[in-house]
Amino acid sequence: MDAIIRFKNYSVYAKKKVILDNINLEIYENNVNTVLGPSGSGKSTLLRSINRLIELTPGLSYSGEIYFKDKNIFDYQPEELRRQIGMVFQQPNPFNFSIFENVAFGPRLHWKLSNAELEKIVKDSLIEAALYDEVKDDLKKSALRLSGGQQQRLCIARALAVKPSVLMMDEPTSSLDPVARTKIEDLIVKLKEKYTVVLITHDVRQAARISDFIAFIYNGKILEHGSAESILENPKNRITEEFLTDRLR
Amino acid sequence: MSIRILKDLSFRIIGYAIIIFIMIILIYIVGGIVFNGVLSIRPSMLIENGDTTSGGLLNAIVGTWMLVGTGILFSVPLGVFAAVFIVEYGWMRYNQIIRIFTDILTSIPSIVLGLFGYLFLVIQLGFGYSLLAGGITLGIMMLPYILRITEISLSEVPRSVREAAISLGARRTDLIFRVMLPYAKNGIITSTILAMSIGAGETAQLLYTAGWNNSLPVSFIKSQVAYLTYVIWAGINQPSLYSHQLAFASAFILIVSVFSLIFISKFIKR
Repeated sequence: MDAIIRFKNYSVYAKKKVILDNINLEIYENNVNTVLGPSGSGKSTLLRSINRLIELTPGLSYSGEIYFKDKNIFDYQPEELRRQIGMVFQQPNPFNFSIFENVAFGPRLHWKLSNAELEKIVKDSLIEAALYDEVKDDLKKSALRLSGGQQQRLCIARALAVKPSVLMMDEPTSSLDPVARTKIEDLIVKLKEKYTVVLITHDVRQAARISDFIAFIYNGKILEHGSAESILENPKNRITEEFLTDRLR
Repeated sequence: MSIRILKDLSFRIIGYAIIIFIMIILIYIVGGIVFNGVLSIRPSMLIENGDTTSGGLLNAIVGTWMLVGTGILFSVPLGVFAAVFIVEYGWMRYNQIIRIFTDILTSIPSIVLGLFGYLFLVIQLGFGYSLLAGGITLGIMMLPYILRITEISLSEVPRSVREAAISLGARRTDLIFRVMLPYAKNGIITSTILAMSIGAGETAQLLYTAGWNNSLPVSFIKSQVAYLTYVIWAGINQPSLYSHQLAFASAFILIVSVFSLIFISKFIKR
């Protein structure tokens, strides 16, 4: 199994408080890698560390290393790192532009493209995000007019448009209704054929439905990491087991 | 009837009375200007130059907008740049200090700004009574409005939207030019229109910096400029009916332009 991202003794501190405590974790290529844990356990910080979005938060310090494709993330230009590692947020956050402009935003940052090339990227990304058929006639319409589920798929399309190899998703369905959630879950399973997915969730059922690997995080520590079946059916750690059973029954 | 109902009723009556009182004052002023303006204005005033006792208002109308335009050209780039710096480059900490500065700038009496314009721009820099001296003096007065409203619209850009742009690999300049400024566009336009309508109605600062010209200015410096508020100020002091008519016509034109600007800005805000 090839690891595309590796955490080595990685910790994050805010003043005296430890947010992430000595994380050692591997993210496997072309799989759905889920980080499961209760609110406030450091899941989002873990995700934001990978694309260095964490640097926008003042007052944090870090130790240890994270490697992306066997190269330390601090040896990348942050812009290039973020291009290769896309991110989808908890709340859909499309720009107040048209649908087309939303998807075209990223490619325009990174490449000089002709209109035809740009249109192709936008179309392909919308198809990949399973949104194209619903919006193909109103690409000029404001993205804010879409439903919540459509907005979230638009955000996925926007992230895919810069041709990343990893797609990170921070509780992407927590603000959506069950139908929209199912669509996105189906999409995630399809996306792993081409991309590596890192999914954050506190929803055990969701983790069970779509994960290949699960890391259970609690109070900033990874307590367990392994294949989805092994973690769900045979947790070795008492806290993991409590979390799973509390939520499952 | 209980005391509470009585209290409520009397408050309502007082409230309505105050509103009606304010409306009457407003209608009296605006109505008076419109009434006198409509009676005074002649089509010839709009196409002829004049000297506040004879002729028309063309030089004053065009002069007013040239001065306002110069003020906008000075204040909008400066105000928007300053707002971007405050919001985007961590100057937010000094927000209180900057707010005090802008508040002071808004509360400086316009005659004092005029004096500054006279001493510094007209005399020191040798602009003379001119478009540039008058326009920059107006621009200084417009600056705090532009800065403040732009700053507010920039800081209202949601954090999630900024993070979306950064997570796609946007650099800071991309963030500013492709996300922040487009988001703040309405605020910038609204503040520009507000500044224009305030600028068009200014008199005191222009008395010191623009002078008067019986025709249009021929250059940016050392060529005096006519403006509408001067016609009001000077015309009403002249012992002739036609001067008074020019003054009322000027007031009418100003009020119509300012109202249209306000209307446009409301339409944009929508």
